[in-house]
Amino acid sequence: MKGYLVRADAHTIAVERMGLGDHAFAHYADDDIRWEVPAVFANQGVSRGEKVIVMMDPGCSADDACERLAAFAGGVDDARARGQLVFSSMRELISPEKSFTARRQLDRLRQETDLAGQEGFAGLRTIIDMAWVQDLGMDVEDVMHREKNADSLFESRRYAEICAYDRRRFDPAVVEEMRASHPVALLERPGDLQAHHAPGELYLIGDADMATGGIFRAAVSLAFDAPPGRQALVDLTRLCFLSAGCAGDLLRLIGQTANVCDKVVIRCRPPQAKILLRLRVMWTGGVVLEETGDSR
Amino acid sequence: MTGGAPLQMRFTGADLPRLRLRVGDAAGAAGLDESRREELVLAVYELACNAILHGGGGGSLLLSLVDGSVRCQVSDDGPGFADAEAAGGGLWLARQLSDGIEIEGGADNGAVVTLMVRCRSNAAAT
Repeated sequence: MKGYLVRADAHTIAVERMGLGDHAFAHYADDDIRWEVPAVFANQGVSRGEKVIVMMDPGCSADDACERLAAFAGGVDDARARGQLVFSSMRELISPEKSFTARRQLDRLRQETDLAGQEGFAGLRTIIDMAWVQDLGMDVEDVMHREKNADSLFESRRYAEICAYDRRRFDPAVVEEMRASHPVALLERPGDLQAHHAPGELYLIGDADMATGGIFRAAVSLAFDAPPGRQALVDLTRLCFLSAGCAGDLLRLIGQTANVCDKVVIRCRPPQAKILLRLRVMWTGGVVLEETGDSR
Repeated sequence: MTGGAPLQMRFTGADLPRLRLRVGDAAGAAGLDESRREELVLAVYELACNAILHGGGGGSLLLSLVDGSVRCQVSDDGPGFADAEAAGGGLWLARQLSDGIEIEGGADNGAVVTLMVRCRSNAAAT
């Protein structure tokens, strides 16, 4: 079941946009790709002075996990050596208890968050590969209940968590329910681009670059394919990267919609606005830049 | 990366997300603020794309801190620039986003493009 599409919607972001206080769903179906989101998440936590605990698939050793993270992001070995990056497991977290209860797990994660603060870290991030569900013989319904009732862990904004689901292990209906019920859902890979369409609105999420340019152009074209009305919105605030080529393509495609749309608002972050303004020669009438400080 | 080891990596198109992450890390370690960091990442990305598109599908990056500036060198095995002044938009943008750029190579010897971005304290002093 690795090939099915996991859709994007209003709560989809790239892992680079995560911060303390976020509870995120992640997914994979490939044993190489599975390390990419954790690598970026751990890397960003380390660079922000946060502690990171990686609770990987029980079938994977700490050394192997460390090596796989280091292949994608730098600084992994140093962070592990100074105790900022820790490899553990759900079995170890709930020890000495042998069986999982949501209360036990949430209490232990609160303790670990407090401990991270006492150790001088700015907060705690955990990456939990949900392979532990089968390892501990858990009922999926109980786990889903925990996932939907963990908000109190995140209220202090000192803790962030990624729950990573292997699409080969879990029923697609379970994966979709978990995607929809987490406050945040992540793109499968760093570098991915997905679009979220709403009437008269286009939201782009991830990286718009040479590799994803075709998806970018198709999404923009689709948004203007059906006449969007007198005003349209293109929201770039959930993009982590916008290449000059994609910025130029966006302005060119908007220019072609002049007869179907009076005004196009491009909502973007300041660095994206800078790129678009450098290409102002491509601007057509009716394009309005709306800068926002939204860090997503 | 303040005084640390330089960042060195080979890349192809599949490595671009990893390259951007590594460059952003190195720029942060060198003390560039978020805005300058994003500009450096974009400039290096544009040079890397040139290497991928025109330099045989990939290239090499060497990023180091030299005299208070981040120095990024992107090299490839392509034909080089016949006319650097007439080169494409990526090079133009990299020039716009950096504090200096040097282009070497050509006549089938590969291209080597080096850009410099001054760190804030250094930039303020000049």
